[in-house]
Amino acid sequence: MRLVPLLELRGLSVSLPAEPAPVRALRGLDLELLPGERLALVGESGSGKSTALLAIAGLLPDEAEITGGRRFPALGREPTPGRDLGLVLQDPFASLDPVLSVGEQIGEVLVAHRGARWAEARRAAVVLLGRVGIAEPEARVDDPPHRFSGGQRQRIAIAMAIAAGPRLLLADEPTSALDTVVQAQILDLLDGLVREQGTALLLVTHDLAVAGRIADRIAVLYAGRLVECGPAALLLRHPRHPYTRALLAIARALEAGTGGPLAAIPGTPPEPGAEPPGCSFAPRCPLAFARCAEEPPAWRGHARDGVACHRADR
Amino acid sequence: MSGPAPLLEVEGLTKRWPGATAPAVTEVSLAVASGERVALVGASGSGKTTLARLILRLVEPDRGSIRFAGRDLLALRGEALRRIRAELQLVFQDPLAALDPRRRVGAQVADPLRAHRLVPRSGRTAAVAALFERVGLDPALARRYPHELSGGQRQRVAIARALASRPRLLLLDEPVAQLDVSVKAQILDLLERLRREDGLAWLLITHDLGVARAASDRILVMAEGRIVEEGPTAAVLAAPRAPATRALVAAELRLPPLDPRDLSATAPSANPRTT
Repeated sequence: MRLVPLLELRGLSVSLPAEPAPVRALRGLDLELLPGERLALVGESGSGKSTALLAIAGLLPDEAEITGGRRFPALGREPTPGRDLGLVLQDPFASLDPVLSVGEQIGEVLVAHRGARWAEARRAAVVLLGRVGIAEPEARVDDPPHRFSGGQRQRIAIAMAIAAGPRLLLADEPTSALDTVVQAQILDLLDGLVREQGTALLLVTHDLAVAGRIADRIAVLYAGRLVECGPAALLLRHPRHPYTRALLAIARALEAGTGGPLAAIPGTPPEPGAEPPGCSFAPRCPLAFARCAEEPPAWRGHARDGVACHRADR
Repeated sequence: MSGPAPLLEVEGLTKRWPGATAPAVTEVSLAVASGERVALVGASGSGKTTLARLILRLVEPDRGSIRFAGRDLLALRGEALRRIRAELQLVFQDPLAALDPRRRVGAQVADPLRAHRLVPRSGRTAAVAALFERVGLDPALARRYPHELSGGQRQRVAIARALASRPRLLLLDEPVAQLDVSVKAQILDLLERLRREDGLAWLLITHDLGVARAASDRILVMAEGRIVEEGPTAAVLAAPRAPATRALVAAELRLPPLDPRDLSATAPSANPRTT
């Protein structure tokens, strides 16, 4: 039996206004997320991963030019941010109001989306603060955000994002501003919460190890296009796209500390508007041949597992 | 330890911020030899940034001594301090904050050449171009403003400026923390090449053990303002003893090993399918 996807992107393209020419941040993205599934969207700056997250959340600026489809089949309607979609950003200060107490901010989500009264919302906020690991939540619920450390603020932002029991949690680099010890704690927390609640997770990260820690499936973006996606364990052990291979080679060299050059990928991603006609990675790819520069590689595989590379012929 | 006197020698350094319950840095002693790569790691709030600011004399310690190239850094004032600062340069996490947004990057790389009177005015453009080439930047980029460069290019500019005054020691404060993985690797490779060429030493401050592994031979671990463990990087990270080191190592995310069939493969192949 085939599960009805929670989220389906079909040929999603997004152009953002810029000088001298609009930036084509996404160029035909197909993606599917099942209920309760955990997908990591991995890429570097300019890959389009954050644009994809904003597009899914319906938070792109009005000037953005959007083509292609974004549907929520399992929901059967347009999602309401806050109720159906929770959002966690890199900088918790961006999602927390500096003058309101953390209890008021978490409570507000419940009042707005679950019709709670303020007294019960405050009690629920105490419970949520406890669930995200804030010690003595009863004593802290009336504190403003600046009384908490960076890691604690991210926990509070997560409490707000999950307060209304959303079907989908969207997290944009939720741990990249945190040190490794706090990062591991926050990933453990996110992992536990989405498992308990059966929430689907779409995590945007530049870090393949973070993706591997929390995701069932990984999708790798480069210059606005999907280059590879597949089950996390398989993709990390057996990458097919030369870009994924190169990223993993660097990450493994840093883990192993064997010395010598890190075999960095030469060059930089294409400037927006200057994407080559063929494969966007071709100018940096050690395996590129004539066809790569001329013709964008077709997607091989299916929506949940595949690769876009001329070299990936079976 | 016998051998030549260290380039940087810190002893019993202590700093307490007014009103704080515990000192930010307590009785820290460390040494960096000429040409040596030393990493200083620790979680947020462990005191590593305060220690860096003390070494740069951006804040004054309550107690302790800092010797650099045989000179008492804390006793130096004015011109003498300025001259020795040329030999101790800083590269930090956010090059955008380090660069003046209103000035062309070439002029900013030229600043130390002028300030330390290293190159006569007539030779400055050529000297800046040479520095740009050393850090892998097209000299034509010298005419751009910081916001017209990518994050990796800006960090290369910051490195070029640090190199301009011919330093012997670089203080690298999370130099690649904000960079993409591919750019991070490029910058670490660049720093290592420059170090070999110039015989530089560095004290690298990072919370990223991967960066410490790649760019240090000796590691110092800080927790609660103190150095709690010290030794060869590979050995310390393979068998951490102090609780703080163990916590850092335990928190590190590890990738699963590469499929052995892929180790020697050079061309991508399709995933084996079982269904």
